[in-house]
Amino acid sequence: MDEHPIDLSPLDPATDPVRWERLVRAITEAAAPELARRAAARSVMAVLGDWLRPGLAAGFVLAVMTALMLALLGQSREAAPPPLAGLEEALELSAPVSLWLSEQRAPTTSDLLLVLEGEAP
Amino acid sequence: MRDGDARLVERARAGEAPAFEELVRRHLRAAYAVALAVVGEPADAEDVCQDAFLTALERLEECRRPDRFAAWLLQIVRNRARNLRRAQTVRRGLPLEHAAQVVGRHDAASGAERAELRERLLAAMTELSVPQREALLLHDLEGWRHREIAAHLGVPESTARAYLFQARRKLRARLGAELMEES
Repeated sequence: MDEHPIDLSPLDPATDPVRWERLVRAITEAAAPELARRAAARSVMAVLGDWLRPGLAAGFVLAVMTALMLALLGQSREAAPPPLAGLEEALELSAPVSLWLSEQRAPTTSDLLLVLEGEAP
Repeated sequence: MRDGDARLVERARAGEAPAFEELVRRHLRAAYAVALAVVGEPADAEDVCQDAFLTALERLEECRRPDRFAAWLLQIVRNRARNLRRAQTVRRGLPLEHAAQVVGRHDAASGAERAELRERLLAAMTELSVPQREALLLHDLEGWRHREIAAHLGVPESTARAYLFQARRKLRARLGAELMEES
């Protein structure tokens, strides 16, 4: 077998440093727009990534605070007296009328007849 | 500590110019050797390298084994070089091997004697097949091992050795002893 290497150094582009650097520059300069595009896409993703965790944490805190406020509001509503109790007494409304008010409904014809019968001498 | 190819590919994907430049500096010589083996002319080989590196950058997500970036890149180089060669063959109307003696565009930058040697080598190499030229350039210019050349060419190692043997023999027969330098 022919095992002796041939000197191909005249074909080696790196033996001419000026030409070699020119070739490297030509490639890297031609690649610059694509690299810039990639860097920009990467930065958008990085910004989103940077904001993701704090955003999730803030959302969680807000959700907890909202839940607490709703729970407190519910408790205060249960503890408060019926809003119409004082009004009924002040207006001296009869019992059937107070009932309609508390049930938040309009009296039916039969309700009215019953009241009138009750008030009749 | 130098980053491995996989890390450089990852950084280049993120748009880091220094990482891409490092990949270029690392693999340009091998890319040039493969391109020159196919197209046979230094200026064309440079164009092929530039085109191939840009294509590789644009398709970097398709490189599934970043640790084997070189092998992936050289496939692109070879395909691009073949495309150029095919286009030249059509344009010139004759096979590249029959083309006249090639004169490099950058001879002024090197010595006249070296330029003459290069022209003689390039002319002699037109008598070799493309796999023979690739085996010769990758082994004797780039220092690749037979195993690596075989993997690159997709042939058994014994075939790669045979390519190299035939290439050297043909080249020596063509050029004579003046260009030989035994290691």
